[in-house]
Amino acid sequence: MISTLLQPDILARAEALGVAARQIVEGMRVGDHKSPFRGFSVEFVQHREYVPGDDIRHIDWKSYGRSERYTIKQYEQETNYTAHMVVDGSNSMRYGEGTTNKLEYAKLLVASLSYVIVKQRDAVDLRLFDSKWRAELPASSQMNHVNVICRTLEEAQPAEKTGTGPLLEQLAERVSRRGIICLVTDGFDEVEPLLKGLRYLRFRGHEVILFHILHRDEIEFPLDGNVRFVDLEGAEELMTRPHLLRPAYLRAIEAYLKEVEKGCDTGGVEYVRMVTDKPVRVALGEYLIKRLQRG
Amino acid sequence: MGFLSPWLLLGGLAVSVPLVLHFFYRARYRKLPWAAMTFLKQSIEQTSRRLRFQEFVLLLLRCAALLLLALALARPTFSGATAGGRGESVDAIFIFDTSYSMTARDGEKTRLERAKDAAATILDNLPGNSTIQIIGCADRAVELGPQSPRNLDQARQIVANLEPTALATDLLPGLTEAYAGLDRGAGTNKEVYVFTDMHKLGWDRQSAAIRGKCEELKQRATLLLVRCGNPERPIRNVGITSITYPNDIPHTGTRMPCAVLLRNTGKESVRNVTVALEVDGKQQEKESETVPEIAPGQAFPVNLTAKLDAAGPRVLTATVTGDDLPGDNRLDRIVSVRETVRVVIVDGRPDFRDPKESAGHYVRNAILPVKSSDVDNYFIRVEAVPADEAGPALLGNCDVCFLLDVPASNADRPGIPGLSREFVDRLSEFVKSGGGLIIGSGENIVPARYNQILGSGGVNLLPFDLEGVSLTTPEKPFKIAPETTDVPSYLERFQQEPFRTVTADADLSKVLNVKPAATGRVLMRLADQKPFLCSRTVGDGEVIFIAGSMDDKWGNWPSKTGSFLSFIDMTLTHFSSKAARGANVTAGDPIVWTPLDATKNFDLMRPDGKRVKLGKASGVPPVVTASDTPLAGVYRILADNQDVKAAPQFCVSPNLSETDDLTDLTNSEVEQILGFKPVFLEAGTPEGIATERAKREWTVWVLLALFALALGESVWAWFCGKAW
Repeated sequence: MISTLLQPDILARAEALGVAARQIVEGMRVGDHKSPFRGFSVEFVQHREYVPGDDIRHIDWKSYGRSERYTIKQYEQETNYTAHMVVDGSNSMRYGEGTTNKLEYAKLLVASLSYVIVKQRDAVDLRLFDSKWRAELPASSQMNHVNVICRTLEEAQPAEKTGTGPLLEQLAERVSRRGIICLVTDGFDEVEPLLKGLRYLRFRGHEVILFHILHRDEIEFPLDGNVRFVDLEGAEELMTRPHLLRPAYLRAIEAYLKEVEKGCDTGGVEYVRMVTDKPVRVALGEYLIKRLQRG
Repeated sequence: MGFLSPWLLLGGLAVSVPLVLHFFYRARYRKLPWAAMTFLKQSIEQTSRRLRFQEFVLLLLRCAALLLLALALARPTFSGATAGGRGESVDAIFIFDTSYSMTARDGEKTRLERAKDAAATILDNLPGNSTIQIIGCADRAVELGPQSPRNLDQARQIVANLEPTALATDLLPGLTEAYAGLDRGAGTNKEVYVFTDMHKLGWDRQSAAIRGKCEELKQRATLLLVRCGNPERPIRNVGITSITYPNDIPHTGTRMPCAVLLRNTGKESVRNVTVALEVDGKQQEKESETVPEIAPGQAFPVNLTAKLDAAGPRVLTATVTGDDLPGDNRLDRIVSVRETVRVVIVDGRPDFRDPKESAGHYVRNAILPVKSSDVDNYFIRVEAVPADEAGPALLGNCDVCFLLDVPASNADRPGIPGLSREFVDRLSEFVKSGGGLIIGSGENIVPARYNQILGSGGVNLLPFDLEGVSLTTPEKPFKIAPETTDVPSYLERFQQEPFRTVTADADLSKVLNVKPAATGRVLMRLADQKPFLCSRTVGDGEVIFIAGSMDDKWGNWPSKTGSFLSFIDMTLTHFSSKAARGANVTAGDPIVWTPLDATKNFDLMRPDGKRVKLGKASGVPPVVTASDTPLAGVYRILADNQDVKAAPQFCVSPNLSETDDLTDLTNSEVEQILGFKPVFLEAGTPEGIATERAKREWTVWVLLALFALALGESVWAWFCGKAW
């Protein structure tokens, strides 16, 4: 049975665009992506002296004719990568109705990305977290793994508050091969630990993409009337007239977003803000096009 | 400040609504699970103080708006708890000062005319369904109408027909009547208008009571004082103070010299004052004189003569022209004109051989200051008789009787005839019916017998019981002390020169002592304070007792002609004018008359021609009393079907206290007396009077303030609703 998270209109467009690694990745087998290792492939990189044990098929005879020395032609090795899908499953992701629900949006995004990545024969793993790791699926490039990922995502139920920073540091320790880390979260956590975790991942050589999932209400605060705000991650309640607070709120959230964005920028983390009222198909498509254009 | 609808102030309790809503109302809040709580808390921290301040200001503005609304609904006014505003029906009470100072002309119109104009303007501007009561007030209050308080047309007529009185100002009765009148109005919006010239007398007479009454009025009505005088123009006034005819008994066939006393009570000289005197309104016999100038405060006697043709009560009328205040320019006096005055002298020591030795010699000569040949034609007829010839019939046609050194009875002095019992009894009746009795002392008087027969033991004619005789030496004679003359009395002029000196010059060697009591009055004393001249009123008559002799036996007083003659003259004039006494009263005082036939009904004919029913005589003796005497002039009391000309006349003079001081109080002085500031209006400014009521209500201003506040509240609410 095909998961509802795999929607053809999203997948068709994303599949066409693909998710290429933008930096060197370390894969298990040959793939389409640059590897830090030298091998025998298409792209020539350099000559080196022949040493016993080398396959004589790789001796450059033209070079021997010119210099009477045995040299071997070396080519760049291409490999596949592993994309680590790290999904925020905390209570704060519950905000939003229907398709604008942040968690649902995140699930759709992650499922679609996983499909596209597996489809191009790269591997994907999945980690769900809130204040700790809730679910972890190993990396695989098998298509049926996508179904496992989808099922895991579908079954995910938020329960705890967010604690992103320490978990990212744990993740950096655990993942030894350089790959792509896709962090999908609303980021409603302490900013500094979050950025610290992201920077640590980058330090370990991963390409890190932060998919910042936000609801339109959270950005523009278009609420009116008397509202009792109930904290999704705690017991706190605030009764107020939100229209009176809007400017102050907007100032506060704008400062937060700027801080996150700037932190990502300086840390070499790709920051992708996604607002849940924009369909995943459109948002993902726009992102992948932009990624392709950047090369 | 007052309110037309004070109970609507309860609407101010509505201020509790926003307060309760603000502090206790829990609005319905839409529940919204929210993720970005951190930013929400940050924004609340930044805005909560400002929001609380804004809400507090908004709350204040809303409370103030509700209070102002309640204030506007209660219709506030500047004065009085029940002050009227525009459009509100009014229970108005007009108090008109009708004292004669209101007749002053200090401009084109008199003060009363200005008061009428002002009242007409107020009447024209009364809102629909208003009521009116009109009270005339001088020193008493008269409710003038209208019969139906809603009949404003009748009220206009009453105002137009208002007439001044000859009374002095006292506003208290009018204010008291007005206070009682407040209960007659059904509405809550009451106004009391006092139309007055603010004459000082009217406020000073009972200032404390006026203050109290005005305080009471203020609690229930708006007090409006309408000034009718022109404060910029002082009144020039010369009033007639009195008409006197000194030292003469008015009698027929002569032109009687009269002194018309004028007095300038104003603050400016009055020039070319013409004074006229007439008798019984006979213009053709009028005598007049023009006085070039009378200075302020100056009393100026003008000597005129009055031709007295017929005996009986005659009306002397003095008039004066040339000033601004006509109220005191006319004075009427009744004088009793005699054809003859009959005097009986009962002589206790008659001496036909040498009349000078008679006890009555000096008295007779004093009464008849004419030649022997003219005695029979003189208007005073004297009959001197010895005591033994003095019978009851002697007093039948007599006006004044002298008892000179007469023993009270034949037994008092052996060989000297005394008074008979019959004569004494008749004498008592004579005095009681209005006759005058003069008793002179002498050796023939035995004090104990006099007390027994004529004094407290007998017919009670003596002013005091007699005691004994006091003697002195020629070196230290008894001296008459004219300065001790009782005032007021007909002898009060003895305190003045030249009577004073000449009287004090007389020496007395003997006097009879009296025992002073409440029965009589000492008119003059000796230097050692012994009573010398005593009097007693008995019935309608009067008895004068002289402690000294009226001949030269006990002193030389009779030979001091300046004193003795004057005494006799004044005494006879005093007795003769008794008939006119009671016929001259001051305006406001009652006329009391004893009719011959008390069974009839009587009417009072006033100077303005109105007849007032008096009813029958009452009391013992039966008297008719007419207390409605507000006008100066000649009144008559008529019996049923009696000819007006035959009816007895009474002269009412203006109350001259009104013009003693013509000062008008200023507004601040009135405020000082009242202790608060009433509404002051000027009678000469119809626009001000017409718009005064509208000015008093400031609902419009409150509504404007409310509008401004509501506008401010809206702006503030918009401002608060606008997110920062």
